[in-house]
Amino acid sequence: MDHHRMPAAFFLALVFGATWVSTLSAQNRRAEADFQVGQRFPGFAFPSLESDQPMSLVDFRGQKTLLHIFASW
Amino acid sequence: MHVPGWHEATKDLQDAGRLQMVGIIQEQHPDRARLFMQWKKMGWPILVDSYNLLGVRVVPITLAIDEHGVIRQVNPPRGDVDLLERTFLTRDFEPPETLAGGGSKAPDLDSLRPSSGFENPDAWMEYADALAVWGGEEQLDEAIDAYATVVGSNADDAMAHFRTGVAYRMRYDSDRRQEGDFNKAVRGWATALEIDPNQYIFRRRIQQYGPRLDKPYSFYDWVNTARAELEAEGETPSPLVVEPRGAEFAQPAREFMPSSGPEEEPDPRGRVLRDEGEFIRIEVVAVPPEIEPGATARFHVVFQPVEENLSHWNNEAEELGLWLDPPRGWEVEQHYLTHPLPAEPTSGEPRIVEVEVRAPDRSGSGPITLPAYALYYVCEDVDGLCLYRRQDLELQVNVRGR
Repeated sequence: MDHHRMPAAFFLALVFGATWVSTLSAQNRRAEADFQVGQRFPGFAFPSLESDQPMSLVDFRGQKTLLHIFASW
Repeated sequence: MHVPGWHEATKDLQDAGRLQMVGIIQEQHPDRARLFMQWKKMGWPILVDSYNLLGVRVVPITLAIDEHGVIRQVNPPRGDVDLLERTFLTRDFEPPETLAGGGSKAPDLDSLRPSSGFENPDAWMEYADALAVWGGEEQLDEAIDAYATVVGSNADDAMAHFRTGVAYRMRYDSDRRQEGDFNKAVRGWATALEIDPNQYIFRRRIQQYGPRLDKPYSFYDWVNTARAELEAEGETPSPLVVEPRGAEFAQPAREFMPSSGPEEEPDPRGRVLRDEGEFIRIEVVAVPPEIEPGATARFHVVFQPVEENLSHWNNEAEELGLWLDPPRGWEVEQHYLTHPLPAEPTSGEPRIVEVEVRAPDRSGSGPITLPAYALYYVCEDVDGLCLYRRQDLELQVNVRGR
């Protein structure tokens, strides 16, 4: 084995590894919710059923909330 | 059911202002959730996540979220209010180091639009999602284009395929509908599910329109019960923008029920004069678009009078009929299907006829065509003529090779 090439190979592996990780996280952006105790609930907005103005869970800050993610079917 | 149970159990806490109930629904048609809430007397805020921006894989999920926006319990024991009181409501939680960003302030959509093409799919996804939330029906075309750009840059992005499907189906249900929208919606969902077969939100969306054998339950059977009960109480049921259709009411089935008796072909010699799409435009959607040999698919055949030619239905004659002549070995529920006539003498609404077919166990693979024809009475306004016409069509589904 050519030991002089090791740092370059290692560097390339790091670069590719980093690229792979960043691509993976890009693909998985919002791809899967994994709700964990202690995690902040995402603050992004959704259309509201009763109002023209989208709402976010941030709008309920200050109150203890029971959130149901469901469907009527 | 899960959510109404929680509602009943926590009613006193809600009334006392000690607990805020909030819902996020994962449905294509949010107005149905409105009717559901009215029926179950649940008056709390509902956010609509038709596009699954949350990225959930299953529903229902219940989260106890503290006053700082931090999740403190995931799926607490259903309806156990005493436990909720002890472990959540009476506790003071420390705020996190940083609160979640976001909120309900409208973004500047123009500034979110990426200036370049495919190289930044994340930025395009963010733009598409923002259009989905803030753009409304007016910007559905832009949302579709933005999701298509994400898919164009990464064909394996299951969520982008799913959201593209949601946007197409939304446009199909709107006044901005374009030919092929429903088909493109089904293709988006089917591709998403192919990439991620364990994603149940994807699976449910396609099952909503699919064959009975694939169904876990009837999706919207409750709608008729809800309406009847609300009317009996003297209430006006909340109107639905899009009425549930056959596939959505269809009960699950254990076995395919093929047509048993002989049915009489209505125009065996092909003598009825043809409409080549001049009066009625027909769109055929197979759900799912691709099946295994021996599996079933449901066809949605959509008939739309051609507005440019001022054509409309004549409702004072026979019903619209659809005759199917499947290839050898293929089974159909019925060879001849009809669509009921509305009360008014003429009308211009789209009509949908649905039918299920089953591929033979030893079917050839690739696109398989089931020949069919429709018969209907249609009027054209130019000379005020009403005509009986036949239109030949092909129902096509793709069969996978074994």
